[in-house]
Amino acid sequence: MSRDRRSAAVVTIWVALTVLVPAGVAASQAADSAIRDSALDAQVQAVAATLRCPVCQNLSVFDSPSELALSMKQIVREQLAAGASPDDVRSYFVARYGEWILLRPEPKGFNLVVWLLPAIALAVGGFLVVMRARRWLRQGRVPPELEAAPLSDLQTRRERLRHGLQDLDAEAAAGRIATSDHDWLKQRDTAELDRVSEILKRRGRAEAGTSPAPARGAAPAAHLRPAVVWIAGFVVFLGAAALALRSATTPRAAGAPLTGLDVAPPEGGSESPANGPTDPRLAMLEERLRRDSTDHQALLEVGHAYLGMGRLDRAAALSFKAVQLRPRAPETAEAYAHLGMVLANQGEHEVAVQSIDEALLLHPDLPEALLFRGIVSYSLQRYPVAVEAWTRYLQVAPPEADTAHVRGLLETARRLQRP
Amino acid sequence: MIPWRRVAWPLAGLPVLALLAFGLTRDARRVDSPLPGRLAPDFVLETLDGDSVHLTALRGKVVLVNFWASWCLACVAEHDVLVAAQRRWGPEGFQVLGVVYQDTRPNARQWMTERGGDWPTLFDPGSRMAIEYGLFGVPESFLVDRAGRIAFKQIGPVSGDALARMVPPLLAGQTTSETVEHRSPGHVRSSPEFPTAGGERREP
Repeated sequence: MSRDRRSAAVVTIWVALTVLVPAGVAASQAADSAIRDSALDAQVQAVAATLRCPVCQNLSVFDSPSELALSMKQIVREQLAAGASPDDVRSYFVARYGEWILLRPEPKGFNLVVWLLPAIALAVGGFLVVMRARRWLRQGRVPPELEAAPLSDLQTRRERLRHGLQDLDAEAAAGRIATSDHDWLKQRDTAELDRVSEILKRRGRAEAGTSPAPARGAAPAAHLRPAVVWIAGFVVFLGAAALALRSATTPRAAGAPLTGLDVAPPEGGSESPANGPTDPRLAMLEERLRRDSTDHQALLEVGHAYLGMGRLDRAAALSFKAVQLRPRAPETAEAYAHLGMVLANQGEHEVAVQSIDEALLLHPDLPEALLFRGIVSYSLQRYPVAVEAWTRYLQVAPPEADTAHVRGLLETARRLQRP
Repeated sequence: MIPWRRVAWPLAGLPVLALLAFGLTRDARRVDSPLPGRLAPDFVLETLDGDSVHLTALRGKVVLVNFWASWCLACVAEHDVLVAAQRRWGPEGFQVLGVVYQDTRPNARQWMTERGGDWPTLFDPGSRMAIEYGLFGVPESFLVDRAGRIAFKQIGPVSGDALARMVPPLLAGQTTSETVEHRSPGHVRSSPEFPTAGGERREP
């Protein structure tokens, strides 16, 4: 492509953006302030935060910037203002979307598993640990004379204890001994049998040479050590579980960042510090841009982030700046692709195609450019182009990309391609 | 005798495995709609031409309420199916109603002019009706029987085959209390990965 055509394309894109973007900015700001300005805010937030946004992945209606979520927030506000209780509002949405719409399902029926399982697991785990620990502590109190006894004495003693226990059970079964006595004797003898067996086992291991025989005086400590490790481990586990539970169940404060997600604060309008991006990485990049507005890398990344949030006006402005700064740099391909996407969204399909073609000239295998080229061509009913672009996209798409949707579209495009 | 001490641990693991097996064999994306079998939420909406359409006024007809948008790719293919269905069953009392989802009037008008279709195209300010119908994205369609009950919900583009199976019995006056929900690929939740994202799309 010649230099002239290239600059012509840039001018067209620029004109399209200057006309289209302010309208979008005004509209979104008006919507934002409409939602902010009310005394009902806190209540609306509390209810909206418990509803799942139908068009997003794992965002609440309160957190989502999508249009549908805004409408839903408006409905929540109206119903609360009309005197409905938070539960009434939730039931309204459940009747339309099913229980899926609730971020925290009702604790009844099968859902109870989620509430009860952790408690049961903790109780069973705690019980097992206590049982183990008690056994170790009991075994730890080995009388010194038992440790020193010759092997044959110990073996005889073990046999005697085993027989004694069997006899004890027989006596009890025959009713010749009181149950309480039986239990007490059995507990005492079982404990001793355990101790003797343990010593025999250790001696056997020592003779086989697999582990050195423990020093006699140190025996209780050696027994206690695993118990201490188990109990310490259990306490650490309990602490971690408690912390995780707390952070998982505490409602997110307004504007607080969502871990690992580049998501704008729900109603953050401008770049003022109070309403600015709260994602740390995005905040850092924005800071870099404030210091140096020609930071090309930051322009690209922030543009990408805003695109992901659906804030197309901001994404377009930043990407366009990146294009102006370094029109021919290979990494600018991304900015052209972003611009193409914004323009396509505004219905400017032909200019969008130009922008995406620019991107592919600079970087022929840029996955997002290929994806968008397919989408725009499809909506222009240029099915062969769409098929070609998506086929290539699927070859170069990053492994983490969700390509199932594109595969579905590609199928349809293939079918439509043949008249 | 069963060696309880040996089998206790594997046995304890069984409920966990059973729970996992139950969870992993289910489609996590499947969301059962509570709507099929119920009365279709009523509405009065304005058409492209400025008239208004009242759903209750169509009681006695078999109505296909189709939510669509010009930015929805799967809606392109679906549109031809709807044109054919309206032509085929229209005389017998079948009526398509298109509800435009998060799109502009000029876009919708252009679409209908280019692709044809002589049914009312309705506007849904603030996506109110979309929420009444528990919409996740487009295209989604609801087949309403002569008694005004939702007989069938389609997530994704509706196919000619599905209509050929569902519409004639409903036209014959049958009502189904069956809760049917079908899905097909191409359903778009206007997710942020797609150029349809964002709150910028408003009536100019």
